[in-house]
Amino acid sequence: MGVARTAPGTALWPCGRLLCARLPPASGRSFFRFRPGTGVFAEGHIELPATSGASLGVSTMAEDIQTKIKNYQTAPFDSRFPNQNQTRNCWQNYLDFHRCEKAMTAKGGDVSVCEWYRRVYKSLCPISWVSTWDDRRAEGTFPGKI
Amino acid sequence: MAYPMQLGFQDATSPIMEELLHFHDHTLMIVFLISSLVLYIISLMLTTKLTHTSTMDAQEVETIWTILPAIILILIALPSLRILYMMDEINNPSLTVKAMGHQWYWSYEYTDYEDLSFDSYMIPTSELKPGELRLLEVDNRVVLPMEMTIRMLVSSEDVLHSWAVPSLGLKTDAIPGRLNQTTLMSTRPGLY
Repeated sequence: MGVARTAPGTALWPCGRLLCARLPPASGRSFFRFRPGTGVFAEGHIELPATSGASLGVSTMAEDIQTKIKNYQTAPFDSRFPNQNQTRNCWQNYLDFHRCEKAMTAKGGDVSVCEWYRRVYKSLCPISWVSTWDDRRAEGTFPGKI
Repeated sequence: MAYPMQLGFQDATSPIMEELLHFHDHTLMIVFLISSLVLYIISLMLTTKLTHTSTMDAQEVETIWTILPAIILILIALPSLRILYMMDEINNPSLTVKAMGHQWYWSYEYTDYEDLSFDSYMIPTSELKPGELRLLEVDNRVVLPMEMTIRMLVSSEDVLHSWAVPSLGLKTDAIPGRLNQTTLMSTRPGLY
């Protein structure tokens, strides 16, 4: 598979792509032409199994949580946190996991449903932040509401 | 990778960097044209014996040199915004890697599955082996899969740092207490 991008060279002289410029997002000329998991890889690289939409790291169809956790690759795009600053994303998932765990153990339910939040916060949050927060929770000085 | 006596950008390794290279060529061409036009006009002004001392009516030329720069600015802004939006496209990464800045080394964390983390110190110049890159070699390199969308989360454990890879068109500030996200996609294998 070759790099399929067109090489416009000096695009304006004369112009082609320039006049096709579109201001709103979701332009047809998507940067992400390379779908993860479906490409041809050079020798010696890891190829991830690309068996379903879940290989994109997110479920695009209605999938139950167990399948999502089983096919987990990394934290998927979360539309609540669309921008560059992902601090809140990490914080929110950390809180959600511990709240879920607390609620499930209080009710005697199955804690494995909280696994999704655990995987996401583990992917996103720096290890040092997590260990600081864990220590604070143990001491009772954790600032978040769990 | 940088090479001696380099003047321009490094070769692009990601599609966004390719776009940026073409945009830079396009904008620089406009800059050269305007600069040479201005230089030419200045040289004409300095080398003429003709004079004209009465007030002139300059409506037409004033209109031209108002409208034309506006058009030029639009011709620069449109591809620029196109690339800006392209960088912001929603993509689903397959891997998340965290780069934490310290004084004075980086530590990398791969925590999607197991917890893998390591420090990456620069090799001091006095310890370089022949052929190694000065100020760029490190003891433990970040190894990333190619042709996969990777989410890089950059932060710092002490002061402000910045994590950059020129050939991928990446530069993201590492701010303590903040997790900055950038997306990376390499089209070919290599050392960057």
